[in-house]
Amino acid sequence: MLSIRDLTVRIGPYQIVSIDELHLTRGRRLGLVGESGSGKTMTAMSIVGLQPREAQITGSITFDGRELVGLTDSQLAAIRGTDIGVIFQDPLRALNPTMRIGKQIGESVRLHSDLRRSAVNARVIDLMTQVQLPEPEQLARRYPHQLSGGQRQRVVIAMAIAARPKLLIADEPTTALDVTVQKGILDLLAQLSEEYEMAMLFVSHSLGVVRKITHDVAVLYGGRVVETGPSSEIIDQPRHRYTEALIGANPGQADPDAIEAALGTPLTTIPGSVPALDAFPSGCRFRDRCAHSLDTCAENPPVTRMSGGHRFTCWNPTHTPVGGELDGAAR
Amino acid sequence: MAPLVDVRDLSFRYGHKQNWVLRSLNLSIERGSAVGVVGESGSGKSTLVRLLCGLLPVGSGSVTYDGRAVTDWLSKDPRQFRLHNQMVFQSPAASLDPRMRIRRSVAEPVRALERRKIGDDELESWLSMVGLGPEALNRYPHQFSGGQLQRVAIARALSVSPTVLYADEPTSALDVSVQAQVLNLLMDLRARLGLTLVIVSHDLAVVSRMCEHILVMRNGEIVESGPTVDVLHSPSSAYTNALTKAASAVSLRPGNVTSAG
Repeated sequence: MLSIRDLTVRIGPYQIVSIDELHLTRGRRLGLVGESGSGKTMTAMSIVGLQPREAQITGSITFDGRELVGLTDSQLAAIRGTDIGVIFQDPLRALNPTMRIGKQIGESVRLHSDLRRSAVNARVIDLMTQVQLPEPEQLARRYPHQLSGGQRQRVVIAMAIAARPKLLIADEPTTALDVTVQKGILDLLAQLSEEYEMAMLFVSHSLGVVRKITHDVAVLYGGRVVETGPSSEIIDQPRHRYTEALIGANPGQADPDAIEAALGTPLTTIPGSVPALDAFPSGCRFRDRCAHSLDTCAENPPVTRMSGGHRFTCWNPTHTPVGGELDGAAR
Repeated sequence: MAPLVDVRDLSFRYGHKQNWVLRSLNLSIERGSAVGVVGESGSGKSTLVRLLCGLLPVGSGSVTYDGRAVTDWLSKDPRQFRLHNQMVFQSPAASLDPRMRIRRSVAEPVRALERRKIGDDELESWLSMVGLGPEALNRYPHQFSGGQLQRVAIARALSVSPTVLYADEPTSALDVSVQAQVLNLLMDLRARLGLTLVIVSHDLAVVSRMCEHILVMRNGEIVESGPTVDVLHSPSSAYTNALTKAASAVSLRPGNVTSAG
C-alpha cells in the first residue's frame, strides 16, 4: 500500500535521509525507530509533504499505486486527513486553544464529508466514543486546556481518523505522556488500526514502545535504514551492531526478578554521540562509534536478506543463533 | 545513626491560595544511599527535591540536613549548606549560561561558595572525572552535545565536593545511547566519591537500575517507599502496581537479548 524506493531528502548540502526501500501493507503497523537526527521524522513527514520547505526530495513514494513525490501542495493537502491521517507528539499544539473540542472534531468531519450539521454532531460524539473519551457530550463543550494530556491526544486521534484514513502516521504520539497514560493510548491506536484495517507508521525513539505496538520495525541511523523486519525478531535477536548497541544501552526494565541482579551494574554504552550532519564517516555511518568495526566498514555495507523480510546492512553482524539456544552451555 | 536528610510532615504550596503540591510527607535519606523518586508529571517529585536542596523555602513541617533544620542552615550558613547539597537539572543547556566559557561556569560554585579562585589544574581534574578533556575549558555551551553539557553540569555540581547530589530527570533530554553514558557516570561517581544520590525520574527502569531505595509519589503524597527490589517486586499500593505494569509493557527484556562480546 505504501512503498518507498530510493528516497533521498536533502537540505542544502546535507543528505538527511537515504532509504533504498521500505514497504507497508494494509492493516500493518511499521515502526521507524532511531535517535535524534536519525531522519525518522523527516522520512515520515516527507510522505505527506510536511517536510521543511527547503528540503529536496528525490526517489519514489507510492501510496495505493499513486506517486506522491512531485505532487503539488494542494494535491498533498487533499490526501492528508482523508487517505492519510497524521498525529504529532504534542497534542496541545495540534489543537486550537480557543475552540471547543466538539467544534474542532466537527471541522475535521465536515472537511472530509458533506454531512448536515446534526449528522456532523452525531459523528463527533461517535468519534469521541471510539477514542474512549468519557462523557463525550459534556467533553465536547470543553476547551483543550480543560483536558488532560491523554484526553487531548485522544481528541487529536479522533480528528485524524474522522475520514477513516487507510494510513495513520503517528510521530512520537506518547512521548509527552506519562507512562500509565501512554499504555492506554498505545492500546487505543492498536485497536483502531485492527478495527479499520488502518496501516500505521509509528515514529518513536523507544524500542520498547515500538515492540509493543508494531508488527515491523525499521531502525534508522544517520538517515539510513540499518536493519528492518519483524519487530520482535529484531529486538530480541538484532543482527546489526547499531541495533544491538541501542538495545544494550537501554536501562532494562522493571522486571521484578531482574532488578536485584541489575542494580548498580553499568549499562552498555555507545561511545560518543550522533555526529553532526556533515560529520558522518564514509561507508557504514555507525562505524566510528561501533565496538565491532573492521577495515571494510569504510566501504558501503552490503544488504543481507533473511527470511520474513528481515534485512540489515552490516559488515560484521552479530551471530545470534537462530532457534533458541541463546543461553546454551556451548561457551 | 541519624539519617542524613530527615523530612517530617512536610507540606508545600506555591502561594497561599494555591493547592497543596506536597501533603504531609515523611521520609529519610541515609548517608551514602541512592534514592530514586518516581511519579507522574504533577506528582510533586521535582518540588520535593527542590525543597530538600534548599531551592524552595520549607513551608509547613520540617526538613533537617545532618540533624539541623534546613531553614536554620539557609538563614545562618547558606553557603555551607550549598557546599553539601548540589543539584543537576533536566536541561543542561538551560542550566549553563550560554555566554560563559565552561571555565567560568564550572568555577562559579567554588567562587561563590568557597570564596576562592579555582585553578585550571583543579578544573581539569573535575572535567576529567566526568570524562571531558582540558580543551573543554575554553569552549562555550553551544559547542557541546547534550550529553557533554550534562557532564559539564555534573562537574560543576561536584566542584565543591558535595555530600548529596540531587539530579532532576538528568537524562530525560538525552538520546538512549548517551543516557547510558551519563547513568554510568553517576553510578561511577557515587562509588568513587561516596556521594549520596537522589534521582528524580519518570522512568522506572532508570531508577530500578540506579537506586536501592525508591519513593513512589502521586498527587503530592508518597504512596509507597522502601527498598527498590521489594517495592517493585511486591507493590503494596494499586498505583505502584499500575505504574510497574505500564512500564513493563513497553520495556525490553534484557534476558532475551544476547550481548555478543
